[in-house]
Amino acid sequence: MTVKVLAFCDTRFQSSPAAQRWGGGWPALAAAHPASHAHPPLGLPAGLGCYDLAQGQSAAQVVALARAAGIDGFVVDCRWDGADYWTGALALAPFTDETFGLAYLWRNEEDAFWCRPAGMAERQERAERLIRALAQAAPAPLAGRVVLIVDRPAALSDVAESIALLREAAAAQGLPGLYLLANGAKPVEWGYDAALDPGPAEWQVSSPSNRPDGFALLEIMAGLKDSVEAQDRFYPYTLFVVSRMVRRDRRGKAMPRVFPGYYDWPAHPNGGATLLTNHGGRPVEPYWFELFLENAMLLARHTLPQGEQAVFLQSWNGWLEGSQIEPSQQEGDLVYNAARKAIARARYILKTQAPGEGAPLPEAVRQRLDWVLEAAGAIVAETGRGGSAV
Amino acid sequence: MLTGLALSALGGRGEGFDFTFSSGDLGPAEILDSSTSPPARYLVEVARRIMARAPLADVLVLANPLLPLKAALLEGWNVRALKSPTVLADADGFPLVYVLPRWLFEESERFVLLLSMVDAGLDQRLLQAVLGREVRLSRNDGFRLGNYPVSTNTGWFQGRDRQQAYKVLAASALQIIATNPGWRDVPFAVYHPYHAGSIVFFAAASRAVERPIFSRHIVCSTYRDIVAAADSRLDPLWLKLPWLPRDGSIGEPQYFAAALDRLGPEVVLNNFIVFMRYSRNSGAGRFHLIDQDRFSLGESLETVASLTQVHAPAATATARCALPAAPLKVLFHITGGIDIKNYPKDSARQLFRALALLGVEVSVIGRPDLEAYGATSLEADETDLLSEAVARHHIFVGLDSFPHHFVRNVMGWPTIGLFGTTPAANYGGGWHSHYRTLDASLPCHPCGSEQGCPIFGTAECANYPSPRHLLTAILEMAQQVYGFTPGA
Repeated sequence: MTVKVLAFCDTRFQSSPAAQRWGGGWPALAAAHPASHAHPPLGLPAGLGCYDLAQGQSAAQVVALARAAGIDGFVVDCRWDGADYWTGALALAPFTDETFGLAYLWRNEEDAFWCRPAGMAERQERAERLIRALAQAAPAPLAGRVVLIVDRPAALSDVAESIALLREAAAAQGLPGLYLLANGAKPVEWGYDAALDPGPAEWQVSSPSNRPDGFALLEIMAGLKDSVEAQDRFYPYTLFVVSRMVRRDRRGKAMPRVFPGYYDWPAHPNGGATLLTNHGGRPVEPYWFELFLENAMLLARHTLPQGEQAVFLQSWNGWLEGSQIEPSQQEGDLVYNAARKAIARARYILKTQAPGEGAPLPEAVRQRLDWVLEAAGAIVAETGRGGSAV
Repeated sequence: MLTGLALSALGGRGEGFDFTFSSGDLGPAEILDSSTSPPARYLVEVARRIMARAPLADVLVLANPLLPLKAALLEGWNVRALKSPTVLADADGFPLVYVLPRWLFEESERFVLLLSMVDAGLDQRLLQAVLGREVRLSRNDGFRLGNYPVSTNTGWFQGRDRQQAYKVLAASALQIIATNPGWRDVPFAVYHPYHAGSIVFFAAASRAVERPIFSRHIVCSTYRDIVAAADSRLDPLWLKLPWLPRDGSIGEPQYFAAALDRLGPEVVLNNFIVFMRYSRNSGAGRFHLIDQDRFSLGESLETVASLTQVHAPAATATARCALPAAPLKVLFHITGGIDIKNYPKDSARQLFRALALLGVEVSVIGRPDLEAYGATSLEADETDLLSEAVARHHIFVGLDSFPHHFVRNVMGWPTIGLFGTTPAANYGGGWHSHYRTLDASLPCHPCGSEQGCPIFGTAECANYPSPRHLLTAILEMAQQVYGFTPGA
């Protein structure tokens, strides 16, 4: 049993009318132009080109390239289009199987129905529709269940009841069950199976490197300085990602989210973008990304239960936020290869770390250790204030 | 890139082969990444792989492993026409391609390890001497390599200064062949004189090699006790110099020159010496140093199953404390000489106090300041003192340094390795009931810093495991190896 790597994949890169309804895709990439010299230009695809997932051959190539990198499946968006749920999964379904499957990110904040109270029958019917949308392709399961990430876990009108409804609907439709992930920085609650680290724009533990003082603000207002300094947030990549991964025991059961780079200025034309920066102004530094991914996989092995060990890679084709690992004209296959190498290295290390023959400590003993450590910490702190250590 | 073409005297198009340094897969087109292997070792390995795939080939066209060359590029250079032994060089005499007969590898492969790989003229003369026939030197005057980088994208850690070492050793080999009629029986010696942990790894590697090429090891004489205890299969050639200081005050090439001077002609002209200090970036791959050293010593290690790192040692190789399981006694070595290598002070205090509350007896090497937190400080700066101290404890917990590597690899004692700035897989690796490594798996690991944390600017390393993580690991190991249950 190895650590799964699931990559977010935007299925809007296809010509079907259903996909076009959501915008995005290649036209959005072509239309996005940086408003500042501090906004890195978006990457342009190389190798796979501007593929159309609706074409079987293109979808096959995309999946084959992802498999070759060691990726175990894609996470695709699940959206309510006013009449039904749409995932774009049908385009990928023929190329999925037990070794490469799909997980789902439910954009529930766009699904107003679930944000307000409704009658039980109505809720059941909507839950059934949602579950049907998750059954179109082979799953990339965790604990043997179909993975559904809830994008805004607290936005559901009655969270516990909504979760119960979804689980019931999954059972009724013969799915092996739902593995529900709460996208958020809080420890898992409300009956979710685990938490998923939020994206870079949603969770910043370190401080931005650009904090203009009053004088700089005056210069910006006078038009003497780029307003991006005041409007967007820039973070050094290494400090940003390391800060997210320290003291993980406080996060509870949480799956790591890994990303090679991030700059979402196209989604924030009026400011408010999040941008990760590297030395020399490079939008991506493959070396650090490689370490991030490799270590996240090792962490997942050591902190998550067997069968639930996964890392989420943002992203396969997030061209509009600079997080894609697909080969680009600017970076060639450096980022793709960094992902491939990191996954291979981590999987090799995991092979050398077969658990010992004995069972882990019983839960009661573990709890006792927590109390003892707490007491020890208090004694040490007291000592630091001048008390006796002995 | 690791590349070559297989040609046959019978004609035909020949066949190109591209291999890569492995990230861990060890797939059929991958070769183990070994930081202690000189470039000539990779030339030998590429030849072995090609010969296995092209049994009818009698001529091998081998790209210099130091260069990012691919088979398609070689074909463009029309090297197929070069069927007699040839060294193809750039305009400045840096070797690009070696055209060599298959029988050289089948019959005298070890002598290929003596090639400099950085001086085409020298290598041409050396090959001529080994083959006993003319070897052509062909220069491509239209191509100039320029300065060889200190660090390359393919993981070489070189620079022209370091490459002088290869040249000097190739020149010595040439001199041996020219002056000693019995040169084919001259022993091969490894140049890897320091540091203590590395000596332990080389000794372990030497024991695992099935078909030894090397019989001698140039090693600092200050490590006599380690060499004796580590049971190396290589006979030591003592180098009477202190080991290379870790503060960077003396460069490796400078030390190497002094070492040859100190060894004198008696050693230099009676041994074929191969440079096995680091030629590649040691953090480029994730293979354990023992496996990297096994590769350097000539093992091909083509599958993951063949690696030492993935196997638990035989039952006879694991020792354990003879004392009753309770009270549990744990020995720590948590001081690495520089702040960034030390296990964080506050974490140590909390951990030691917690262990004391659980009735565990804690000893720590060289840290009287921690006695106030329930530990007993002791000295163990000699191998025998360390062995005695370890024998009085059930479990050893140590940083990535000599005591840890000695206790794990020589004594086989139940050990927990702590890793902060250095790669656990390279220096720890290989879990079983008697051994595991711990770190926090932060995205900065391994940074290799020796001067404070490059991310947070602190003196201590944030990647060390938390007290909770370490306490749990100690008690799990105590339960698995000794049946110890806290409070029982």
